[in-house]
Amino acid sequence: MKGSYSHARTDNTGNGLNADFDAFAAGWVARPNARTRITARGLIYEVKADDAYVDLLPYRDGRAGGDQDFDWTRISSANREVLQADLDVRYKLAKATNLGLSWRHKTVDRPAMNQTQTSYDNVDGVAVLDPSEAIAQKTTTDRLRLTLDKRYGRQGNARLTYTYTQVDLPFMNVYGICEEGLNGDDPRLPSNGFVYYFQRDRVGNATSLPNASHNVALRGSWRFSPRVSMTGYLNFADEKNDELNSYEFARTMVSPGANLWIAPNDKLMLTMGYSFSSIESNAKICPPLFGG
Amino acid sequence: MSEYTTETDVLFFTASLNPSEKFSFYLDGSWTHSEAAFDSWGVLEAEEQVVNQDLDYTLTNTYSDLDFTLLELTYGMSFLVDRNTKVYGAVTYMDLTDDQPYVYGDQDGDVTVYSAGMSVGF
Repeated sequence: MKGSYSHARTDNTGNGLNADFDAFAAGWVARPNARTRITARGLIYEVKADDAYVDLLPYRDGRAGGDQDFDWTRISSANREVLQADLDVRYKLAKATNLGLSWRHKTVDRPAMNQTQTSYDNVDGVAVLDPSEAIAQKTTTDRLRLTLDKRYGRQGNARLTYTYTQVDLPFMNVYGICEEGLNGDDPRLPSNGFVYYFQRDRVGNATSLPNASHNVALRGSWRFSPRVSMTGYLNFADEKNDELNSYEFARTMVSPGANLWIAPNDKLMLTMGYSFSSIESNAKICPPLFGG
Repeated sequence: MSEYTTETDVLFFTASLNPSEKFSFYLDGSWTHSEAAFDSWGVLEAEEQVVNQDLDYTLTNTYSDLDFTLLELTYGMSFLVDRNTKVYGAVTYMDLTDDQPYVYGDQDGDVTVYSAGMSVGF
């Protein structure tokens, strides 16, 4: 068993903003019998950076349609509390054949996600910035991985890995895409008819990160002779995100490849290879149309 | 909704030759071809009618097509002066071909990099 603690502090002498980093880590290994090895690891760390107050002059200061207050407090996107726990079990099925099972649980809490999107509200006759709800502030990931690997004497080896990952609220652009039609509503900013504000009234959440994914990886190598060997691999991934409010994201990836190594004599070595990658994904397209 | 497809092919080879204990030569080469494109968005449906609206986006997707081919070749050698001293040099040639120059302009170009050095162990 082992453990560690580390602390780091960064001072920005230019603007006086500071950041602290604290991390705890611990690990434990056990061999309950000759065929089994269990490994457990834990990691907790926190990044806490100072908030920065952004002081701006009022919009159209002293002129008609102005005086909106654009001051705001910037919460650093570096801020986060992270917890990661790993549990690995490796079991020897037979001679040169191993089965591995691993589970990872990870949470990432980002206070800055509280401010990913803002809108203007009419408060006492004045338009003020209103941060969106923190609907994607905390991301929780659970990853389950099954591995089977086998050696074929001194000539070859093969490994098959299957990974299932489930993510609750992956990082996303909250209310980042697609305006709704006005349908007769007044497009002007509350309390200020000089500003047409409806372009930022977006309603769709968007991301290219999945909330559920299946990955299969197959890899093998074979030595035909002491001077010729070959390695091949195939990776496949099927991913989706059905937590978005405006569309279901989907992505499929296929990536095969092969390498050949030849040593015609003791002084010359040749390596050659080919790989291919295909990624198919989707996106929601919302062209805004303006009349007038 | 639109589908987006990215495809990449990579071919590479490496040859290294050690004719003596002091001399070493190598030749690296790779060819990478990448394409990315949206499917056609077709004719969209509007949430509300706008005067003189044109909802035909049949060809709009082609504006963001990407198609690059990159060729990289490196030839290098090293010479062992004595047990702790080695001098080495290499020349690298890279050629990029942009076959969909609409987005950022035509980015065709090539680069040749010459490098040389010496390492001393003590």
